[in-house]
Amino acid sequence: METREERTSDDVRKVIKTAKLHESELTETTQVLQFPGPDQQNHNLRLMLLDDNLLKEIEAGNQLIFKGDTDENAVLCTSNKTYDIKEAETSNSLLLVPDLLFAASTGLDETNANNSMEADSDSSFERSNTSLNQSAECDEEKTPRNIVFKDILDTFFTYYELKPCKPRLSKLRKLLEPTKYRGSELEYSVDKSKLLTYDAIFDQVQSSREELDEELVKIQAIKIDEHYRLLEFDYEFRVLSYLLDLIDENSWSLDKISKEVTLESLKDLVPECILNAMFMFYSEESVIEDGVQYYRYKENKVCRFLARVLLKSAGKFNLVEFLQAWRDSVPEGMATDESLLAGIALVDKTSTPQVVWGFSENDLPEDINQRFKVLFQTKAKWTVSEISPYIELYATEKLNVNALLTKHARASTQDGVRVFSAKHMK
Amino acid sequence: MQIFVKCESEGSVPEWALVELQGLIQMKEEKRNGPTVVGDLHYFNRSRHPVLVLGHHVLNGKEVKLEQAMAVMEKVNEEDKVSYRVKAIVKKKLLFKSRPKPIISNVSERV
Repeated sequence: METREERTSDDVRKVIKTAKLHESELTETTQVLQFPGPDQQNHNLRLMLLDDNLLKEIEAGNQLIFKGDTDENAVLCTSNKTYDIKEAETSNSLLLVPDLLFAASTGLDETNANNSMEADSDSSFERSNTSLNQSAECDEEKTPRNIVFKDILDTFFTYYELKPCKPRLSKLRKLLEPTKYRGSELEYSVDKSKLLTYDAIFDQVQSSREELDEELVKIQAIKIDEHYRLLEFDYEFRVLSYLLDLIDENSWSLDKISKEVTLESLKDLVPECILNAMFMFYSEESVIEDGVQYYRYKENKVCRFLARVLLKSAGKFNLVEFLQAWRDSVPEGMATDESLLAGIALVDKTSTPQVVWGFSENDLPEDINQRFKVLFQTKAKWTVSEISPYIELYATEKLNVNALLTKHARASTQDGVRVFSAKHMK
Repeated sequence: MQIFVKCESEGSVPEWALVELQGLIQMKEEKRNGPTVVGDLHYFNRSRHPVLVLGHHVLNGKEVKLEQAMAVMEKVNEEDKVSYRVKAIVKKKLLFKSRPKPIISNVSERV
């Protein structure tokens, strides 16, 4: 409190005068900036830039979450978006002053504003004269200036910059990999300590809740007794076969699958939660008849999965034979098409006979450089549509697949088709 | 690992301000207890521009709306758990980017 008494209107006036400012030109409030005593300084404060979305979240009082383990770059998550965090530096100093008054709230009233408007029309010479006179008058008037003290809470040279980014979801599969569900008879062999609840997953994956929920559905994680699990490939095939076999058994047409009958018929063979989830993954609503909702299986999804089953054993297959076997494996009425193999298999049409082999995106390295290396080792030249499924993962709004290819591959034209090959040939 | 950023309930986030200066302020000495005065901030009636008298320098600045708002967050340690609390939002700053003008005077007494 002592200091506050030390600085009076006179002190401030003296400074105004020595600074060759004219009190009459200033609004009536002077804010004295000060560093508060050490006990009131706060060095636990951080500044963070906000885009419009984050500002809205904060103003609405929503919770944000920083996420990341010690070996990861932290991200900030809202309920549905993920942001990358970078620390930015400035050579200027940023003084943080709570409750600082801006010009509008320092006694700039209507009359003052009007006066200054009039003064604007004066010539500069006159103006400086009048202001000189005025300042002299003011000094005599000695109306006390309105002096307020404002604390500088802290000085900053850095702040956090946030950029919207893709959620980092590749970790999710790795977390769930060790506990794949292979059927009730094999449950004894699963390491129970590695089972993860939703909260445990959410804690470890750098993603917002909404983005994580979407991904859990996308990779077909199923909640089995509080824990999220992936189905082992062979087990998924088993359940899907049960589902598809019912079509024939009941002579259903493809768009009139009864969910009720399906669940009822298979309840002894497959745990209910898995059955429900699998039905949901592979079917969509079709028609409503007599108040009953019927379903149809997603044709492309079923065909792709069955193609993977056929391609599962290592090695190359004769393309013609494979396509025939594939057609035979899908339920009657579903159509297989070579285009469905994008991202799960590669076709070599230059060899005789033409061959096809399984090549799954999930099995490729995560690092983009490594991945491109493997891709070009597997096949020297790719068209955009061929390679897209394998690198889409890295594409962002700003950097699409074409931009990725420009950066990591060499473009050329082969028989009039644009193809991409390795940047550095051996 | 998650660190929560808690926001005050709706509508109650105060707006604070930044004063941006070139370089940094070095105080000759800071008081052990109690505040240390840095400078006087005034506004011109006419232009509404701020002017800051800082030691023997006069700085002319202007009020600038931040391109992106900033959150002021406080790190809180509660029961060994770190969290952040949004204390305020900064939307405007006073920017003093011009070269400081020295005060030349013959005043013998100290200010």
